[in-house]
Amino acid sequence: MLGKNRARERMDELLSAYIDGALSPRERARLEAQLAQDAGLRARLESLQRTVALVRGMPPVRAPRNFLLTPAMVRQPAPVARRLAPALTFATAISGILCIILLVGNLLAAGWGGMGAAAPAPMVAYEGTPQVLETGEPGAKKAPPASETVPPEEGLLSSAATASETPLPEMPAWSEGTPSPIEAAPYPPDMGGMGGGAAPGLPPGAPPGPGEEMPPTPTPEMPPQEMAGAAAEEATPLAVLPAQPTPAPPPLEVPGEKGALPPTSWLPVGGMALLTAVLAVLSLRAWRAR
Amino acid sequence: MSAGRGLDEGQLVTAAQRGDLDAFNELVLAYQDRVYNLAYRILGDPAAAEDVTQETFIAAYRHLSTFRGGSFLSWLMRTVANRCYDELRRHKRRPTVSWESFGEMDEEANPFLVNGHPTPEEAVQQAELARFLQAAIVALPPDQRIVLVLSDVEGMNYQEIAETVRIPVGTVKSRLARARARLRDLLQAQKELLPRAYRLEDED
Repeated sequence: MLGKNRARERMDELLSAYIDGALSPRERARLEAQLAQDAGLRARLESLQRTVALVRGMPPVRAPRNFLLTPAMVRQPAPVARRLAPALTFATAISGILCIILLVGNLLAAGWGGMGAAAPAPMVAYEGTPQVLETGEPGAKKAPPASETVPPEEGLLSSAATASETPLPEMPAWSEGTPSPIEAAPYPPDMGGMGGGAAPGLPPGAPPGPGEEMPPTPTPEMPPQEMAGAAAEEATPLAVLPAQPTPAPPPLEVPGEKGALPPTSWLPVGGMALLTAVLAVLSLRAWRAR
Repeated sequence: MSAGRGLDEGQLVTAAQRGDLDAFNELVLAYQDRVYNLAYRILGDPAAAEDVTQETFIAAYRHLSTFRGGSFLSWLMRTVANRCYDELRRHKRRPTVSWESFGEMDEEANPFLVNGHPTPEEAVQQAELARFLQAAIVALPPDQRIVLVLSDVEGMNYQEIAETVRIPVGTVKSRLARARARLRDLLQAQKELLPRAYRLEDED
């Protein structure tokens, strides 16, 4: 059945091409020989020829109206702009947001740098100079474990140890010679000097509280050598302590450079602002082209 | 062709390529019937044929720079055939004149009524035949229909059809043969609806 249908289709194809005069001379001769012998095949050819003649003889249909063009109809669209306009707008918005973030970040960094520049005290600790800061903070005195184990006659040193053992949420970096409060706890009270580190948690440059004894700071009346000597005297017990491994201190920032960011810090902001401006112009042009 | 300004087709195309819309509109007036006829025969829907005709002229004007000479009409017909082909593939548009509803089709839907100046009896017969044929053509599968229309309505040869529809010449031949055979079978199956003079007899 399938083979018969295929043969019929093949014959229809030959007959169709014969009607169009598209057969090769050899194919045509063979088909004409078949047609001469097969009346049924001739009838199929005739019905196919009449069908084609009917279609070819169909009168044409007239256009129901004029299709004249107007200038508005043929105005060239901007397909590229049409596609790119939303993407450009999105890119402009993203670029603008990034620009603002960079700008705010730089401004904040400059502002914090200004505050940090007025408080050089932590820098002393970073340089490894033993420093004692006695704090009279009520919170520090309330620290129960240290105040209970240290006799009151220990005086200044015990007070400093108490302060150093007070758990505080923020710990400034300390030098290698300054143990952390956690490390200081197992040592007996008579080694209270080990608490001679700067009171953790105190903001740099914070004014001393009542009763606090400030470590010696360089003043015109006290030469730096004297100050270093006094500090070393205060921190003498530290010398007998083994060096405790401490995390590497954060990179130092030179006072005076924080307030004024280097010019290279503003380059990304400028670049992003320029990019935003260019994208905004392109976006506007794309929307207008639509 | 001769135009209102006394310019031939080539001069009008050249003027239109320089942006002369009036020159292009002369080409529109000259060829709109041919374009619409082809679109209607392929799509079988007067409204769709109107849309495609208008879009074809707009697209032709915008892409006139791609016309490299030769017959402008052939270029235009290839353009409209392409658009019809895309339209058929995209929307699988159903013709408004279906083979099944042929018997109930009203007279106003017959576009052939506006053509020719036959006698009243001839006009009735011609209109009836035209409706019948159009219904049979749109009953063909789209791939076969467009090849049949391009060949037997538009008169394109196999090579032109192959370039227009972007299929091999061998495929054109086989599709055309199947379309003609199927159309013949449809006409034979509904021969009682045909005018007596146009009835096809079974060959078997």
